Amino acid sequence: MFGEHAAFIIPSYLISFLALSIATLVIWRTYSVRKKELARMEAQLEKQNT
Amino acid sequence: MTPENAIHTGPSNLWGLANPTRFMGFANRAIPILACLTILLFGIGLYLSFNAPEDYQQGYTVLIMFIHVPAAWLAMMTYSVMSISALGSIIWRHPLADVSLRTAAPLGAIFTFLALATGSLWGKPMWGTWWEWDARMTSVLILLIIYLGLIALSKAFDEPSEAAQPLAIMTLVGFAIIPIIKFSVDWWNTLHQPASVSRLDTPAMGPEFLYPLLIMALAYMALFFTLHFMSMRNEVLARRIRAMKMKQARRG
Repeated sequence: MFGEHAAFIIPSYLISFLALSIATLVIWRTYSVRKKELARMEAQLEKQNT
Repeated sequence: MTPENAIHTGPSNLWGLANPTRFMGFANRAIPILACLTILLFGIGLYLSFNAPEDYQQGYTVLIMFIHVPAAWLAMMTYSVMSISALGSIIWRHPLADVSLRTAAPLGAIFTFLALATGSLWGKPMWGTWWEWDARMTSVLILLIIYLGLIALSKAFDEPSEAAQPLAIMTLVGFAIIPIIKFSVDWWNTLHQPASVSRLDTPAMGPEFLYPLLIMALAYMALFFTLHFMSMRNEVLARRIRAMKMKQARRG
C-alpha cells in the first residue's frame, strides 16, 4: 500500500493523528480536573458559610 | 479589575454570549454537536482521501496534501480568530475575548507545527529536500515562532487580566505575517507551488482531489472550534477557581 512513498505518507498521518489526539485528551482531562476542583471549592465555601 | 470581576462582569451586555456564564451554557451544548460533526467529517474526508486515485505526477504522496493543506489553512485561520479576539480585547476590554485569544494560541501552534512537519514529509519525495529557506516555508516557521512567543507572553503574568492588553497588541502586530504567508508564493520565486484551490473559478486540481481536500478542511475547522470551545471553557473554570482562591485567602 502507498508504494515506495509509504515511509512519508504513514508518518504524516501518524504525526497528525497523535498531535491532534493528544491535544484533545489534554484539553478533556484539564476540563474534568478543573470541574472537580471547582465543585470541591464550592462545597468548601458553602460549608464555611453555614 | 479583579479576577472575580473579570469573570462575572463585562463592559458591555451587547452580546449574550459575551457573558462567561452564558458562554458556558452555550459551550456545553455546542461541544457535543461539534464533536459529532468533526467525527463525521473526518470519516467522510478520510474515506474519500484514501479512495482518491494516484496522482499522475506525485503518485500516492498526494495523500499528504489532504492533511497538509488543511493544517496550513487552519494555522492562518486560527491566527485570524486570535486577531479578531485581540480587537475585542482592546476595544471592548472584554475578558472573554482575552480567553478566546489565549486559548486559540496553542491550537494555532499545533496546526502550524503539523503544516511544517507534513510539508517536510511531502517535500522530501517531491523536491528532494526536507527543508528549503524559501518565502512560504520561512514565513510559516515565523508564524510558529510568533505563536510560541504569544503563548510564553500569556504565561509571563501572574494575573491573567494584566496580560490581556500586551497580548492583544502583540497579536495584532503579528498579524502582518498572515498576508505575507498568503502572497509569498506570488511575491517571490519559491520552491513551494502557488495557490491552487483558492482560484475557485479554475481550480488547478480535479474534483477527485478537490472534494476530499475541502471535506478534510471542514473536518479540521470543526475540530478547531470543538477544541477552542473546550479550551475556553477550561480557561473560564480556571479563572473561577482563581477568584475563589483569592476570596478564601482574603477571608484568611
